[in-house]
Amino acid sequence: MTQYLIRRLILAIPVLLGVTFFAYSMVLLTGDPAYALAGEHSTPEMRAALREKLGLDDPLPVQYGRFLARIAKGDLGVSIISRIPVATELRLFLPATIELALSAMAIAIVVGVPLGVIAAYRHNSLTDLGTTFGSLVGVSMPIFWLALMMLWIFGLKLGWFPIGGRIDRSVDLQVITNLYIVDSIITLNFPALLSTFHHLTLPAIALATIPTAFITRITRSAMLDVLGENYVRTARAKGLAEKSVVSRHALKNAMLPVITVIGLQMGLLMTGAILTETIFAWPGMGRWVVNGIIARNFPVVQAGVLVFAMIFVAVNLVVDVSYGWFNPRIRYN
Amino acid sequence: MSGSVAETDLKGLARPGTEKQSQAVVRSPFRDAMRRLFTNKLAIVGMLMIGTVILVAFIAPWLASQHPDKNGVFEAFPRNNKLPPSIEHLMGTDVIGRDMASLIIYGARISLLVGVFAVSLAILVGATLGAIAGFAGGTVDNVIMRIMDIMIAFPTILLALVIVVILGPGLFNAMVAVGIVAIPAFARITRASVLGESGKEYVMAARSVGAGARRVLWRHVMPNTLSPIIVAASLGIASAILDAAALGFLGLGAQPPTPEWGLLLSRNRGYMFTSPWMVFFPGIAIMFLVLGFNLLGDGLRDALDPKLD
Repeated sequence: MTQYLIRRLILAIPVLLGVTFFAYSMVLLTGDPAYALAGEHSTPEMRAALREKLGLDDPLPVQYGRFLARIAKGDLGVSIISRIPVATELRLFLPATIELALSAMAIAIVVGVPLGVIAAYRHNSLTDLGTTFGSLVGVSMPIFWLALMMLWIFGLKLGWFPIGGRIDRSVDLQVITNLYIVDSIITLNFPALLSTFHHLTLPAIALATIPTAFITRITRSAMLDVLGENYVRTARAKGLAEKSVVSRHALKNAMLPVITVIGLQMGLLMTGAILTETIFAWPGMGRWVVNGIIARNFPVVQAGVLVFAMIFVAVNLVVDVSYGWFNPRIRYN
Repeated sequence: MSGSVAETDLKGLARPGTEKQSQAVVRSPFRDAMRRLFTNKLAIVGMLMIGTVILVAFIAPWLASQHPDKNGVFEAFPRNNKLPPSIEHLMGTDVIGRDMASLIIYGARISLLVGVFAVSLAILVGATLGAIAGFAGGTVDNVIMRIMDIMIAFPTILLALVIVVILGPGLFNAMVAVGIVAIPAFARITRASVLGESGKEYVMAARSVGAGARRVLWRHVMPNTLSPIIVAASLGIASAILDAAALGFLGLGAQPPTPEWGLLLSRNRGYMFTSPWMVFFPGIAIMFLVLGFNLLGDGLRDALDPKLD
């Protein structure tokens, strides 16, 4: 197990190196960074001086090596727009995205798994057809459209939820981890917790749509496979209650592909976050990076690309390792 | 109906043996798959939905009430702006008084083009790379697939955004970006099925009669890897359309005055609270077409390979 973990970590290194290389060269591909830094009204001399100072005239491998050394120390550069260190901004925005993504995933699992189980259990029934069709509609919806519609109906027409932000301005919250749910629980600040959930609901549901659909579909098909197995028949034959057959015997064995999809979707949630955050004015990574891209704020884009990719690689690793826990038959050699 | 049955019976009686033979010809795997596809209700619904959009795209000049000029610009009628849906304007009008329905009808051409172009690009590059990786193995395989791993490590929208920033915003560059993003998926799928096929007897047979590597790969192995690629293509068109619409929405895809659905939605977003139809209908159009391809893709998967995940 430990050996496997080490091997997987080593295998992830070339991918991460590739990601950092891409993140670095991307900046050069989008034009002269000195131009972006010095602004439109800079003279060629100013830009030349800046290039000299930043070492942009050195050979690419040298520059890349310097970049690696820099990020290894946790120095991600300074935002061109706000002049604040990128790492500082990241500490502010990343927790907001994590909070949103995890909430969305929680909704997706809580809704998707039972729906999939019911659809499989009532195979070919109207419920099954409805679930299958419904989940396809879910993956076919443009998430930005759904978010706007929810905002219009529940935010504006019905006025049930706020239309943007993470917490009411009137609520005081001592920020520790910047995960507002965690912060309000450890400071026992219930008004803040309530306000956080209130703000989180719409974006989290919008973001949860696609993963819910995927989890429903995969749970359904995995359950269909498992429900036909001999041991399920055996469990029934020995007189176990149907509830126990489904939940303890079938579902546990059907979880493996579900876990894979949950992992994959966790990575894709970051993609969804880019659009969801833009619409709900959620101060997270997605909005930060999109604004960075539009403003050519390349240190921010670099950091965003790196962090997103690292999360994705890490999640995949966790998924692979968790297989063993769900299926003891898997050996890591 | 009964007449034709009697006829076949007679033929069968007259020449025993031929009946069986012709049956064997009819039941080719392809015909089997098509039969399964056309008995799948959801797949048929999907095909009808796609067919509707294709039809709309073709007959747009006859269907729409407003038409673009030579430069693709729809005339603005500021006095008619923000009209709610009515008999005259089925989907209302937008901020500058253009007929929403006409814009969406012409937009169908763009979304279809985006989906087909992006996926064609992805298949061309991805399937070729995947086939080479799976067939060559060793270092070639490792290098190609590690590059694919790196590409997959980026969220698709983010990668597409970065590519668009490198290439510059615009419809064509957005199509290229969305196509590039889809390459790793096709490479992986093709590689997996090439690996699966390469070990089979018919490949060994082809090799043993002296067929070169290139011939074995393209003439023998590749045709047998088509099913998963076809399935992935249909689902891929769906996500390509969604991704391109998202790029349009973020202002980095199609540029005005192109009536791209994502762009229409984003341009009217600021007026959503007062004139929601301007945002509602483009979204419905996107969902309709994407759902069609997803339904078809699902049906194709069940029809071509029930074991495929």
